[in-house]
Amino acid sequence: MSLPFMQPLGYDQSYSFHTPTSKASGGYTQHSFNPYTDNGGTIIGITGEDFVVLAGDTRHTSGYNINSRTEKKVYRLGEDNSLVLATVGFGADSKDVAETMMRAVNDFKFNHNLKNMSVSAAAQYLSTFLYGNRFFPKYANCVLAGLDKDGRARLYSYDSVGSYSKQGESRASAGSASSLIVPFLDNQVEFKNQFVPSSKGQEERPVVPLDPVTVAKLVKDAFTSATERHIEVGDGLQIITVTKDGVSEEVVDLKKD
Amino acid sequence: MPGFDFSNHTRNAALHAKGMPLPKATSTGTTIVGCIFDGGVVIAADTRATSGPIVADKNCEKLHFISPQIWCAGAGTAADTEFTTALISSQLELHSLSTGRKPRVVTCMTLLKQHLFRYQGHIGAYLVIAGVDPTGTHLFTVHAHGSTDKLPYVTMGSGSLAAMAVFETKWEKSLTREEAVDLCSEAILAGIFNDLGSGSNVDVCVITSERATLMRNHITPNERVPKEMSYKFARGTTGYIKEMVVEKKDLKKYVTIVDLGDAPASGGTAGDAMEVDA
Repeated sequence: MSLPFMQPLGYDQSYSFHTPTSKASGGYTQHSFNPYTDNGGTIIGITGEDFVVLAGDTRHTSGYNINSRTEKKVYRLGEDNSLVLATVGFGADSKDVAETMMRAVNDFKFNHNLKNMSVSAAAQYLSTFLYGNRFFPKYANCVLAGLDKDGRARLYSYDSVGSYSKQGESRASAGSASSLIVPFLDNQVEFKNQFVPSSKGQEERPVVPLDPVTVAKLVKDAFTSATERHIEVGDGLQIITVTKDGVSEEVVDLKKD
Repeated sequence: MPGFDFSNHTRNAALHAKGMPLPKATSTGTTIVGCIFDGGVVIAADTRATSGPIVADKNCEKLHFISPQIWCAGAGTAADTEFTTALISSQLELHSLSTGRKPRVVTCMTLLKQHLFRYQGHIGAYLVIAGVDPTGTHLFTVHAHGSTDKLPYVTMGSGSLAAMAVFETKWEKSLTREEAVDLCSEAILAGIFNDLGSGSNVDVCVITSERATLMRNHITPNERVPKEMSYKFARGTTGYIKEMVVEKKDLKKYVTIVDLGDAPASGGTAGDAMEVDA
């Protein structure tokens, strides 16, 4: 019993949930090669005043399959600087973007008398690199973070062809469960849709920088919740925290179903 | 009029031709299995329902009642498995009443396959049927297009490969009830952890010549960890433009209130608690 239409559910030719299955309507079949795959997963970034946290789950998927439960998505761009990059989307492109950035940061150092690249420079470089591939894009959504020369936290997020905001942002999320996490972060980091209780909805709750303990809790809650409702998120959670004292990494368990 | 309503077909075909996407049905990604043992049959299922990559229900029931000693596990389009099993359950009960005999598993399987074949696979129900009747213990699979299998151990759904891997390494010809329950549970767990379409808990149903025993949430290996923070908002966080307080004594001005006393409503018990997603 193995006629092609009897294949088990979820086992079809398209590896990605987001790839529309297109069938030409003129009675002919159009063949094509699609070099991209969506390997799922989610990343987030949250800034405080003088620290920044980047986190990502460690599940790597193809369709309904798990390729790895321990594939990290957040990278340090060097060992003696504050630069961290998280990438999500097509696993191969994500890694390529991260490695390109590591190399660029390293080259900069040796071309500039051992001076480290600034976050703003790294941010602009990443944008330029992504746009350089405008007509064969890197299928990777990036979030870049670090501390600037005054020790303030900077966070930038990009689309796959290099669009980003130079002002940076206070929070960012990308990947398959970003639509679940962004509203949560808007509400809990930017205090969106919250008013001062005594103001009868006239005065918005003022935004104040968060402390490291609260941010760590928000990150964990965002991921345990995304794991509950998104099938591509789970297994492990990698959290990288950047402070003036250095960069630290923590990996905690997420549900594995 | 019995059967399906096709009156929207022409309109929807025109809409679809203009580029409107079809509505997305909830599918039970699913791992379902069944296994015969000495003295009966076991079926088991996971409890995740999905809509694309989103988990629609974390603890749904995929084990359906057909008759007291015939149960069915369903994969595929959630609504199709639900309605098809309910329809055949009804037909089988009427058939049993008219013949004066207990319903048979082959009868159930035949009704299902003929119904599904008629609809040429458009009813997306993939089923594992199990039961004990006067002719013995039976285990079948029925595919959406109408083909059937009769085997000592079966798996279906997106997690069928993971589950079958367990059966192929551990299944033996003669099993006790406990061994069969454990084997089926392990097959479902393989689906839960290795197939993204399956998840959450293990439901099991054991059918013997005496009775059927449904073990809802037999194994719960995926309980949510408590949240790190409370997300209770201070009263007044959501802005409002008008406040009106209605005292309990003034309620009658706004709604009709009927005093039911202590008597239970509509003769039944106090009413089931509403099912709430965990």
